[in-house]
Amino acid sequence: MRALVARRLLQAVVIVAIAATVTFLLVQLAPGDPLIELATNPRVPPEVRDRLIARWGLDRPIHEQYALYIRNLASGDLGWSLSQSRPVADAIADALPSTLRLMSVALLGAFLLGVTTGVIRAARRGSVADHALGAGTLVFYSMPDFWLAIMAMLVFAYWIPMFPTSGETTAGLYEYLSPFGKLIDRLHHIVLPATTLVLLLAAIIARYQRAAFLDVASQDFVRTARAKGLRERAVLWRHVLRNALLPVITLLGLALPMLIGGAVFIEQVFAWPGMGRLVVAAIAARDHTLVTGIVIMGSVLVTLGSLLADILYAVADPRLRLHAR
Amino acid sequence: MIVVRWLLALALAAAVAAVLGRTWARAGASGGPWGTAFGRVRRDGAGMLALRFLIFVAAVALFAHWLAPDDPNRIDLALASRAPSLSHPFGTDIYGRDVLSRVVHGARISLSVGFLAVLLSITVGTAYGAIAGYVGGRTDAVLMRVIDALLSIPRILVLLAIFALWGRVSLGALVLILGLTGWFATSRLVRAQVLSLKTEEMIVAARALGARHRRILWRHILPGVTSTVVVAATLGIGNVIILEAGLSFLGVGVQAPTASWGNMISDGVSNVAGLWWMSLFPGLAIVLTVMAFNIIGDALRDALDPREIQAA
Repeated sequence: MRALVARRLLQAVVIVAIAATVTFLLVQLAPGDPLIELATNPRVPPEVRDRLIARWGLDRPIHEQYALYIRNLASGDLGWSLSQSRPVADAIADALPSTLRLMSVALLGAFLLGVTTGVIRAARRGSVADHALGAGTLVFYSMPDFWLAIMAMLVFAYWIPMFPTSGETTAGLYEYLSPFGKLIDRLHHIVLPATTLVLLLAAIIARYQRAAFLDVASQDFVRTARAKGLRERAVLWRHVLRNALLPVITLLGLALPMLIGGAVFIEQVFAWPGMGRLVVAAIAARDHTLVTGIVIMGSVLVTLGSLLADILYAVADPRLRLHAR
Repeated sequence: MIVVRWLLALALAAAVAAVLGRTWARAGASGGPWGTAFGRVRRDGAGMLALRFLIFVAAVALFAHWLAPDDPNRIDLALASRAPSLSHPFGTDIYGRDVLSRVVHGARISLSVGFLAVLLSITVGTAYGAIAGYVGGRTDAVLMRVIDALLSIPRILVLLAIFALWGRVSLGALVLILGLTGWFATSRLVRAQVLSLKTEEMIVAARALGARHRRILWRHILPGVTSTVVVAATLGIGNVIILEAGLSFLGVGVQAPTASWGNMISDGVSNVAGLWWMSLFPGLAIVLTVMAFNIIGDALRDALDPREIQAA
C-alpha cells in the first residue's frame, strides 16, 4: 500500500512538472515579449520591474529562464499579477475557497444523484423508468453548462423569484446576520449554481454507473448468488451494487476537470467569486501570469483528485493492494 | 415563399436519409462488422431520428443563405428587441437582427468548426496512439506519460490560456486550437486497441511473411481501430460544439458580428429576464444538435460492440 502511494505521488509530481513545462512553452510561443510588456506598463514601478526581471531571469537565455521558472514554482511563487497588483498566489488563495465550496457541494450531490439514477436504470433495465431516466440523462449530457445556468437563472431567479441571481452572499446584509442566518444566506445563494453543476455531472456519472452495474450483474458470482436461491433484492444490493460502486471511484478523477470547466462558466453566469471568474477577468485584463498561474493550479487540483481516486480505489479493492505489493 | 424553401429542405433531408437507410440495409444484408453495425443502427428508432435531424441541420447549414428569412447581420433599430412573432419566429435582438436567421447561419459555424476540429484531433490522436501502441516499450511509456500530463490540465483552462496569450483568433486558428487540444483521449483509446490487435495471429502472420511496418499499420492495424475512432469522433463533435459555444460565450471564440450559437447566447445574457428569446433559441439549437450526435455515437458504439453483435 505504501509503495503504491509513493509511486503514485512520484507520478503526480512528474505530471504537474510536465503540465508546468507545457504552460511555460505556451507563454514562450505566444506573441509579445513579457520584458517589453513590463517595461512599457506604466503601472509597474521601476524597482518592482528590476526585481521581477531578476527573480524570473527575464534577461537570461531561455533554458535559464525555464530552470528559474520551475524553481520558483516549486517554492510556491507563481509570479506577480499586473492586473491585481499582488502576487498571483495571493489572488488564487482568495478565490480558491469559494470554488472549492461550490465544487464540493456539487460533487457530493452529483455522486448521490448520478449513482442512484444509474443503479435504478440498470436494476430495472428496459423498463419505462430506465428509458425515461436515460432520455433525461442524455439531455443534460448534451447541454452546455452555461446555457443551463442561464435558463435556471431565468426561471428560478427572474420568473419565479425563489433564489438570488448572483454572488455567494447578500452584499451589505451578510455582515449583520447571525451565524445561523449567514449559513442560510450562503445556502440560499449556492442552490442554483450547485444544482446546475449537479445535473450536468450526475448525467455523466449515471452513464458510468449503469454500465458498471450491468457489467457486474453479468458475472459468474452473481449467477451463483441467484442459483443458491437468494432473493433478487439481496443479489442486487449485496452482491452487485457493492462491486459496481468500485469503478465509480475512478470517476472522481474524471469529475474534477469537468467541474473546473463547469465552474469557469457557472461562476461567470452567477457572479460567483471563485477561480473561474478570476481566470475570465485575467483574460480580459490580458494578465498572462495570473492566467498561467490558474492553469497550473487547475492541473494540480486535477492531479490531486486522480491521486486521491487511485488511493481510495486501492483502499476499497483489496485485489489492487495485493498487486501493488 | 420562405416556408416552401424550408419544406424543400426538409424533403431533401428526408430523401438523403432514405437513400442512406436503403444503402445501409443492403450493407447489413452483405454482412461484415460495418454492415451489421449500420443495419443495427437503421433498426434503432432514436438513432434514425437523430440521423434525420442531423442531415436536416446539415442542409440548413449548407443552404443558410437561402433558408434564412433575413440577412443575419442586418441592423434595424426600429425592429430592436421584438419578442417572437409570426414575422420573426425567434424574435429580434437588441440591434433588430433576426434571431432565426442568425441561428440558421450559426449552424454553419458550429457544424464546420466541430467537424474540422474533430477531423484534426482524430487524425493526430490515431497516429500518436497507433505509434505508441505499435512500437511499445520505453517509447510507449514516455508517450503515454506525456498524455497523462496533458490530460491532467483541464482542456478549458488550456484553451483559455491560449486565447489569453494570443488574443482574438481567426476561425481557422480556432479550429486548429480546438483540434490540437482534443486528441489526447483518442490517442489513449487507439493505443489500447492497437496493443490488443498487435498480438493477434493475423499481425504475427503478416510479420512472419515479411510485411513492412508501414504495410502492417495501414492494412491491418488501422482498419482494426476504425470503429473505436468513428465512435470517438461522433461523440467528439458534440463535445467540440459545446466547447466552441462556451468559448464564444466568454468572448474569445467566434468574434462578432459573425453569428455563432455561443456568442448569440452571450449577447442575450446581460438582459436575460427581458430578452429571454435571444439566449433560449441558440441554446436549444446546441442541445438538439449535440444530442443527435450523442445518440448516433451511442448507437454506433452499441452496434459495433462485438459482444452485442454475437448476442443479436
